[in-house]
Amino acid sequence: MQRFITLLSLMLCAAVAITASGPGQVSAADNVIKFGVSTPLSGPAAAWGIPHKQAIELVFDEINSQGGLEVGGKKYKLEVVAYDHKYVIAEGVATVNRLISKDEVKYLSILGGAVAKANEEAVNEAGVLELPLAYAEGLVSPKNPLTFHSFPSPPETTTFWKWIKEHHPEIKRLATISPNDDTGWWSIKVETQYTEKLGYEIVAKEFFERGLTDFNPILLRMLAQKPDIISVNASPAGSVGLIIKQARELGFKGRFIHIGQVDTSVVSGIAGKPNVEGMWVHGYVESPLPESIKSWKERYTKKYGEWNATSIDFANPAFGFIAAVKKAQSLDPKKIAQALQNVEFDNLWGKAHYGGKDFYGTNNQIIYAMPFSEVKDGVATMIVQLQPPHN
Amino acid sequence: MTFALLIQSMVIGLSLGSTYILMALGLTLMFGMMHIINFTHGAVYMLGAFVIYYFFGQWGVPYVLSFFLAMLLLGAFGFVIERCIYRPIKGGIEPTLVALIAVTTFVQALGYPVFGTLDKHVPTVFHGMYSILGVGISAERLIIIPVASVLVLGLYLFINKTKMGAAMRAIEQDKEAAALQGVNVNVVNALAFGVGFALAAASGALMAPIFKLDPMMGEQPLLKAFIIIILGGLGSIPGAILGGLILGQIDSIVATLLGLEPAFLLSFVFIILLLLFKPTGLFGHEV
Amino acid sequence: MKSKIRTVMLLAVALLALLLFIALGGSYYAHLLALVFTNVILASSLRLSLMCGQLNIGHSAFMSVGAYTSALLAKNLGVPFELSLLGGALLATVVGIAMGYPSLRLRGVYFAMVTVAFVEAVRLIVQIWVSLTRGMSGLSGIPKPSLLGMVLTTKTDQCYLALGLMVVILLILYKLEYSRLGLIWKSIGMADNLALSLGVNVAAYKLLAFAVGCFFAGVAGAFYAHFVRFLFPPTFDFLMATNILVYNYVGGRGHFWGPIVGAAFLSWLPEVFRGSEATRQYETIFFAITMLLTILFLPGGLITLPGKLTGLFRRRAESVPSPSPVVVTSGQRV
Repeated sequence: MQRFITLLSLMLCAAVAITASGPGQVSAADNVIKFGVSTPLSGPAAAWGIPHKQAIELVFDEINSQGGLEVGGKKYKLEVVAYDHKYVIAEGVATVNRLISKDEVKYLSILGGAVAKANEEAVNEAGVLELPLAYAEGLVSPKNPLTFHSFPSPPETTTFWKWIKEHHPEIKRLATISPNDDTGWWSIKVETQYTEKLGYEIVAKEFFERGLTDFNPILLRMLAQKPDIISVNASPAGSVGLIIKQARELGFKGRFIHIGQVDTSVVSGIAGKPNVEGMWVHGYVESPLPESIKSWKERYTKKYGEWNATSIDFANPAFGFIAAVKKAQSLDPKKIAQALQNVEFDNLWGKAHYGGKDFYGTNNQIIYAMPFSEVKDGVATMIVQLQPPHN
Repeated sequence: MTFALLIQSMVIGLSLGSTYILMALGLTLMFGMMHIINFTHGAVYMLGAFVIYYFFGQWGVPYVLSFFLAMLLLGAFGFVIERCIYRPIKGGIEPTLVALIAVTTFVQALGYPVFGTLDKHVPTVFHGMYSILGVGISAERLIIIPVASVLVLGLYLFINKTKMGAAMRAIEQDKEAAALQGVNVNVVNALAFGVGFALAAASGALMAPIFKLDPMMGEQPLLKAFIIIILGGLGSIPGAILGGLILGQIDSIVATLLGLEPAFLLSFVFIILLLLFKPTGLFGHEV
Repeated sequence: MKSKIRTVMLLAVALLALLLFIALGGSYYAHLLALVFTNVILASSLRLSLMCGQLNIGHSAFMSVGAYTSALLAKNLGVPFELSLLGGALLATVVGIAMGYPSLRLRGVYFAMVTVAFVEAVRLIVQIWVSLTRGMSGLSGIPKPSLLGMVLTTKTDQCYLALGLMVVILLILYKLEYSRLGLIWKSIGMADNLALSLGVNVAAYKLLAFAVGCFFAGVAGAFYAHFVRFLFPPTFDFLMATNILVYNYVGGRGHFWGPIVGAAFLSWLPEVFRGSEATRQYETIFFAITMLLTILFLPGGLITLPGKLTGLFRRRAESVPSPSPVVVTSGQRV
């Protein structure tokens, strides 16, 4: 036993010696901008996390191949430091801790509402710039001045319901089903508030635990209310696939809508192509692709071996970041944040900027013409692009 | 809740119950035989499903053949686990538990790099929809009942009508006395592992086309199976069947009435009360 | 006597090294160490149940109770940290006794299963009681820990607090283990029927071990709440409970230092693997392999490793005994 304590003490002294030679890691090179990514690369949300990381890396690659990003007369290489948080809160906290305290990144992008919320205070206290892809109530607000949400949220995407009301007046009864967490709750809260104002009747609201595979009991309850359309807002692809499959088995003939974002090819595979027909989805387009995106598709496929249409919108953080750094000509997160609120830049769909002060109290939400698709013959086909209700 | 909804809920409950029972059978067998909680059951279920994914889904091997392959391969895996993990530990309950947790963690973690991180699916094998008392139940769910019945029957015949089965029953009653009578305990244990794993694999193989595939897919079914075997009595096959039916009804009717979380809470509270007052469950042997 | 002084001196050196590590490591290491210390508290407090032969896989439930209680007392009622920590620990103990008392008669597998059911039941209750705990939205805005009115703002300060808590708790646990009480607990763990026949009130002692364990689990939970400052019910699940159990087994069931070694080693592991892209995926795999190898080749746990190594060098039989109490899953003919 005593030998063990000796061993332990020796190890600890060694650890101290190593640490004493400098806390954390000194940046490998002086002309590198490290951008952190904490995202689910495995687990149920991997369908979101993987294109998130890959999209940012691709955008950075292209800047780097042109010599890098010029700031204050000096050229910097952009580097992504990515960690997998598996959509587990403890991992989410650990990865961001590592990014901020060990890798000393000053800018990062988190995917996942609960994870972003868990790290809210850490991000604010550390003064790092955050460009999340995360639905969470209160994330975009004056108390998080350095947080710039880089994907359209429910308050922006619900505008699609106006389009539905105009073009499909036969739809009147809405039921919702969403994951049982803040992302789901907030999404449904915003969606139902908006649709009620438009005159829709909300006949059912269901929440499920992530990991549930048999939705029959709650679908039974929901379908007894005879909805015309079911919203699966905020649900991940695997769950959406199962929900659609089982709802069809129970006899539901109406449409599904996901105004968050979902990969309908994964959904199709699980639910069966005919069952997904007519589904409306935001932020996922397989065809037709404008020229600029066709070229992105080629570059993406070339680099990663297979195409993932989710990457189109998930590249927003990279575009926003680069444009703001160029404008601010500084590496200080606060200065870049100021620039972000005043810069107009291009993402893959056209012009974008960070706004939304009327709704959120601060200009920290990305605003651009959002793509909405309908699944036709198994392919997510873009039907309209809409601007959010607030600028 | 209207009467029609109640009836429909009960039908769904039967459907749910049948998906649980097969899992529970293998688990209860292994507990009855060796008094171990087989934590790896969920991982084996997952592997069974992935065998179907590769053999049937990707390589075009006919489904029925793939099904038997899944049972065979994972049964063999059971032998391996018995030989390499269970036997060296000499059956202490806690170390065996931790070892099986380790195996499960290992297999599930290996699943991500090997199988990929995106959810997968297998094409439907048994097409068609049937309407039962106003509820649409797919053919692929209905087929669980005959398949499970055949397996239960096979299990019953094996345990009660074969010499090996008699050996298993002997060991269950009194290990040392059985050994004295010439029963090779190691071989029988290996067989118990093999059969238990094969049943878990069968469950996974049946469910693969119905749901989706991912490395952690075994977790939920495992939890349900635990609840069932406690309900029904550890080691009892009729108990597992009845327990599965009861849990299916709870999960369906209570969930439809009150929501999922209260339904889960109810099943756990039920378990706690049962364990405190009648730990042997509905049919379990006196411990 | 001389060896005892040597032990104390070595411990003092170890403590000093830890203090230096925290002081120089920056907030990255402070964050990690604080969580490691929390895990050490959890693993060591579980050891009491395990000593009595109770296979307890429910520890995370009591951590949850301690965490939420302390967080809510401090956030909603402005209770100072010292008191909210105490409140959390006390409520965890009360809940523990409420759950432990009826379960006393259960043995072996059945006891384990009821503890698993407890974990899930507590988790679900926390999730459903949204008005109190904010359920799956998560409880945020938890104040930082404070001592005597002084807020511990930096991770480093909070890490010192964790270290202090851990040292105090370990001292208490050490004293308990090597007292007459500890002897009784170990005798119950080895052969409870025998102890019973000698007039030992087995049930009462088991409950005491369980309750003390719950108290310290509550302390760990309270610290965790004020350190991470975001509580999410699925965090305290069956997986966490099995992890705490595994820390004990991999570290060494038979020795006081077992859970400490196990917790320190295994909770540090994920960070080591997180570093490189190539190893990141294999972290859980390595974790599992470590567990397996330890179970198969070091049944006494990692704590027996130095003994075995020195045995190897001196070609002697292993010098450090690794007592694994025989757990009688009584009622069954063995």
